[in-house]
Amino acid sequence: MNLKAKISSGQFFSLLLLSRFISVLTYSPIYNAGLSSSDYLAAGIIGMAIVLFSCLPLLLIYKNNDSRSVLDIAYEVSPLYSKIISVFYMLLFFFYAFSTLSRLDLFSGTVIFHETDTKVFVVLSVLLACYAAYLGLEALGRAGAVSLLVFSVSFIFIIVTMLSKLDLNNFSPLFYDGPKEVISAGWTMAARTIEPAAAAVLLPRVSGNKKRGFFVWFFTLTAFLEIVFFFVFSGLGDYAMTQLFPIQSIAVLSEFSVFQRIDVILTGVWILSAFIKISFMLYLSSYIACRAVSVKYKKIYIFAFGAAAVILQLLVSKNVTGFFISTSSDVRNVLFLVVVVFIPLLTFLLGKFKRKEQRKI
Amino acid sequence: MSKWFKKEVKKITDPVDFGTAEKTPVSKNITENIIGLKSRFGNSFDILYKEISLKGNKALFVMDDGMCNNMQVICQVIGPVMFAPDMPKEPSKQADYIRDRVTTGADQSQTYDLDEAITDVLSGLIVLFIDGVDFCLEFGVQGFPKRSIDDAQTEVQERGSHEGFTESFKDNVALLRRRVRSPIMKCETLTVGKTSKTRICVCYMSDRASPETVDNVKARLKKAKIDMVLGSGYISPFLDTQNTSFFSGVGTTERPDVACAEMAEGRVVLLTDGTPFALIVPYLFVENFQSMDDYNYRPYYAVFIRALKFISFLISVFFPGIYVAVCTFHQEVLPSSMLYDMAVQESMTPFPVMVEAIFIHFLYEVMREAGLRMPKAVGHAVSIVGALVIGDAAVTAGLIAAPMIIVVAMTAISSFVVSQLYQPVSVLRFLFMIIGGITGFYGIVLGFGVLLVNICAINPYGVPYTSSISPFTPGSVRDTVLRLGWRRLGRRELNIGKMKR
Repeated sequence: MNLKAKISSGQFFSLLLLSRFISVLTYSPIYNAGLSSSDYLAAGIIGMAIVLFSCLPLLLIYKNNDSRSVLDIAYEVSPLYSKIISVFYMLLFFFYAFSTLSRLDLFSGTVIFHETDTKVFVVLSVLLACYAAYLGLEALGRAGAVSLLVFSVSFIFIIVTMLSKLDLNNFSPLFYDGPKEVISAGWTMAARTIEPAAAAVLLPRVSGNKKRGFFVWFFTLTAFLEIVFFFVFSGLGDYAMTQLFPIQSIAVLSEFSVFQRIDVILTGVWILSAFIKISFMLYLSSYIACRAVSVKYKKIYIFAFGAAAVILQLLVSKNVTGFFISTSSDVRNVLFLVVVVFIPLLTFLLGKFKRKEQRKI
Repeated sequence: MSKWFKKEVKKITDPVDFGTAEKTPVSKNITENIIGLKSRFGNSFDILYKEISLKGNKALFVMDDGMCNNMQVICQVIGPVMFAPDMPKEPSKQADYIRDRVTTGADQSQTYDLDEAITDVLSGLIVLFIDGVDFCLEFGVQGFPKRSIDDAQTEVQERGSHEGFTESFKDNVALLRRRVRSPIMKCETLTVGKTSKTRICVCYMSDRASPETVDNVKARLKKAKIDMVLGSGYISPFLDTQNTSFFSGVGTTERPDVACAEMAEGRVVLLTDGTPFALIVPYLFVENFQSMDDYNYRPYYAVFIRALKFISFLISVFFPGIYVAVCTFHQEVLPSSMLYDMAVQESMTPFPVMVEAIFIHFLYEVMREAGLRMPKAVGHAVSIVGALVIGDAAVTAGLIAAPMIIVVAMTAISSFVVSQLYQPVSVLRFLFMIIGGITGFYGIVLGFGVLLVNICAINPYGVPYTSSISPFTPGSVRDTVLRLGWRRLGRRELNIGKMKR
């Protein structure tokens, strides 16, 4: 693992896009019970507005200096403070690696292999993801860019094959149940966007136009979210609320010529994106561990985080209560607020204060 | 335990140390030189010694009979030396006189090292030792049997040049020189192989190739610890920057025009004496899908051919695996009518689809290998037997389903479209068949993901192996997936050095 290798802005934001796309594709309406179909479109926009607002501290940090990450600035403030926030970042990325693995397990158990024990697949997926993370950021970035291309082509194909199934009458009136539920759903969507935290850690290792990359990422993600919700709810209507994976359910309806089950393509890109996301999250966790503890055991960290994710998954997959730990909104809300908003803001202020002090001296 | 294990692994993986060659100086006493030569050559019948007298001074010609052109030896060296008028009496003056005034060949040199002289004798030079002189004179009169320049057997072109490299080192360099008549093309030689002392020519264009890449290549060759180099494949692992991938950052070509095109893009071409295959570094993934014919065709057709090659590559790697996965786990993907026909066919065979696929592909690989190694006349017989056994008898006997034959045929033909990638493709195909049979589409996609990351991790000489696709470079994409016309391509020079990360 080369800790200094740089990747292009396009590759980095491709990774971030893939990482968030997979969360959108596996979105379950169960998190926002009571929300009507068209409200999801509004919730998506509100959610992304919250994300943009949450990214302000990060934008402020990189506006002044783009050669130092949040962790670098924190180290200048105090090495202890840097270690403390490293733990939060590590926890966040590990949690998302585990959470994505959990989704992959659920998806493979319910959609692909209905009657098979998926433990072997969980272990296999993590082993392969560890290997991919071991190959480093450059390899992941390049693979992410190619995967995004594959994803986009497949997604456009699926959308085109679904066009005949759309019915705008499936939409309910906007804000039918009042705006409170919509804002709450928007917040839930925003809290699932932890990609700015990855930017906080890795942006100095990105070359090229980062500002443009960020805004392309933001607007593409917003557009993707809206397109997905539009297709899901115009195709399935309120029936989507009863589905665990509504996007999968709408893809089942699509057909192309004599081929009727196009959802297999969606399954493919789903697994590919999940694999890249788990690898990326494991890489980030071990990268931070390398910085905070020691570079000496860099190979061990990846496999240790991978093993921890597998053990956790095997433990929680035993029952539904356990599974909900991985999807818990409370955990995500806290992690989002602390890692995406609070830490960059605090670090920015402390860094500024420290610099002022130094200037005085 | 771990220390012992590491030690054992190190023993296996560490390159063999052949020691360093000791230099033996040429002696002023010719008898000592004769003893030195005979102790090294022994009773080799092809080494000829001719003792002569130069104004009463003892001299000795040494040559390898099979490596020299006898006519040149007599007319250009031995004859003029023996009958030279005004030959001085002093040994050192005799050497200078012979070198400057007597012999007519342009390829002359002198060495003070006896071992170097021996290597040169074995390379086809005639060496002259003079009593009282501490060096020997060498004259290039090579004339060994060699194959004439012929069609490139492995890279057949429709509209390009038909010339291919041969085993002769000098001819190969001449083939390059004929195409690039510019002093910017440099050809530097190195010797690799402790026993074989094989000459390797490092060719590059000085204004385009990155100096670090050239130095890196030379350093790797100098460090290569190997006893015999009998083909370019022997040195390829020493040039490969990552040996843990199915794909290699070192390319090969049998065509001088391809080698020149690669040099023009800033790459380094290595010619190995005794092999008609040149090595190219750094080599990119997309180059496997390019051929010289692309540049002779109209652009739209070249783009079509490249797309065809990409699709063929994907078919040859994934199609059998996907077929196995679909038949085993995801039957719902198929239209009902097709599913019914396939189910009927497959139900009549005794094996599971995965075993059937592995068996039939294995059989195909056996026949391909047999057809390749057998004499041509017998090779046809193998093809006939293969076609009958696989195509007809296996289906009639109910061992293999007919759709599987279509899958094998399609895969086999597709794999030959991108012949440069045949090695990784043939192995990966088996892997994906097994993965597809055990884990279905889920495993295939995961496998694709791992393969993708593995390919993306290759960085030959600092240039990403997947360059121009990822990292995406808008300029170079004009000659990768696309192939624009010469009016637009000719405006800029693609330089691999600029793709360095």
